[in-house]
Order: sequence, then C-alpha cells, then structure tokens
Amino acid sequence: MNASQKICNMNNPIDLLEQIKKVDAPPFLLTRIKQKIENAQQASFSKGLSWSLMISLCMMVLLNIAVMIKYTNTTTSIQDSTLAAAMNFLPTNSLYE
Amino acid sequence: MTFEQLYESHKGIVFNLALQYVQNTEDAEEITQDVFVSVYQSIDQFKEQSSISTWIYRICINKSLDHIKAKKRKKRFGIFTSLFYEDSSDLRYDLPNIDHPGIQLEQKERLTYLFSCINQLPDKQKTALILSKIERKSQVEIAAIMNISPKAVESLVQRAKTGVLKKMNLNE
Repeated sequence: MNASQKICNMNNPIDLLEQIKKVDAPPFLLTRIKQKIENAQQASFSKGLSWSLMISLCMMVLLNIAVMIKYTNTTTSIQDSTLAAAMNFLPTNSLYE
Repeated sequence: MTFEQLYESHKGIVFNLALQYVQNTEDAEEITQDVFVSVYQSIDQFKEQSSISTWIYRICINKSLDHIKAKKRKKRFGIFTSLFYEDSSDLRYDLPNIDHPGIQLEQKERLTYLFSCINQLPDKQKTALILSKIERKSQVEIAAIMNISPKAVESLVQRAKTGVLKKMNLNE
C-alpha cells in the first residue's frame, strides 16, 4: 500500500497536520542575521557612493560639452589669406617666384 | 524592547512557520534570517495598527511565499525532460524535499504526500490551512494576520480542505 493509499484510507487525512511538532530554531541564526544586516548596510553605503561618482562624472561630461558648444559658437571664421598675411606666409604654394 | 529580545521571543514562531511552508530546515533557516533582517530594516515603519507578532507573522508568510516562487522559477529553467506534461510547464510530481524536524519518521511518508497536495493550493488557501491546522490559530487571529474577515478565513480553510481531498483523489 503506497502513501497515497494509506492517507486516503484515513477518515480525515488533513488531521494528520495536527501531529506536526514545534521545534527550536537553530542557535547560530542570530549571528548570521547580524552579519546579513551589516552586509546590507555596507552594500547600501557603497551603492550611494557609486551613484554619487556616476552623477559627478555625468556632470563633468555635460560641463565639457557645454563649454565646447559655447567655444565653437563664439569663434569667428578667419579667411585663409588674412591669416597668411598676419603670419608672413606666402599666399601661394609655389616655391619659386 | 531590543532587537535581540524581539528575536528571542519570536524566533520559534518564525522558524516553525517557515518550516510549514518549505518543509525543510535549510530553506526555513534562510527564510528566518530574511524575516529578521526585514524586521530590523523596517521596524521604524511599524505603525502599531496590529500587534508586533501579527506584523512579524505577515512578513514571514510573504517571505516564505516569495522563496517558494523564486525556487519554482529556478526549476522551470532547469528541467527540459519528459517530467513535464505536454501542455504545462509544471512538474508532474513535485514531491517536496521533506526534512522537517517536527515530523516523526513513521508519519513522514504520509505527510510528504499530503504536503505535495497542499503545495499545489493557491497561496491564500495554503496560508489559511497552515495557520488553522498546524499553527492552531483561531479564525479571528488568522483574520488579523491575513487582513481579511473571519468569514473569509472560514471559506478559505474549507476550500483548502476540499482542494486537498480532490487532489488526493485525482492522484490515486
């Protein structure tokens, strides 16, 4: 007779649950719980630090982009010939005059 | 009351309740640890709308059910054999790994089979049945823990019993 047959032959099989006894919790659990709490606190601290560093990095990148955009807009275009005259360069490529 | 005192007064309750859900010591230990870590982290949020025991019971029930769901998710990805029904991804015979220190050896076989049927019940029915038949809580106490009416508890327990008996008859 297998387990299912044994249990189905009982008047009220669910009453079998009442025979389960209470047991004591293992003694080492409190140590493990305290360790987990400490690990969780350290994890949240390093998470905060990571977020701060990432935000700082993003702000620096955005600042650089803003400066580059501003610098590009304010630069005036200089004609090549004006530049050549200002720097005493010859206006042509020929080596022999 | 310090955390240590809270732990000492409730460790038995939490560990035994977790055992009724997972039926093995290893998982029950893990759930117990998670429960008390959660209690420690959210004690400030306890608004005293219920007793602290009721609050801890609720956390334990939620953690136990979450643990079971997480385990089922792992199993579902791990097995691709003819254990499955053709139209379902559930395991055909999900016999629990019974390592329950509160079960006597002579009852182990019968209770393994009984728990395999109980584990297939919906969460609320399973919870009501465990609190009623194993934890021996009154309907009023169960209603406070589950945040439902005593009538709803009675209905859940009745449906759970019917469900278990039906499953036992189907598996014969």
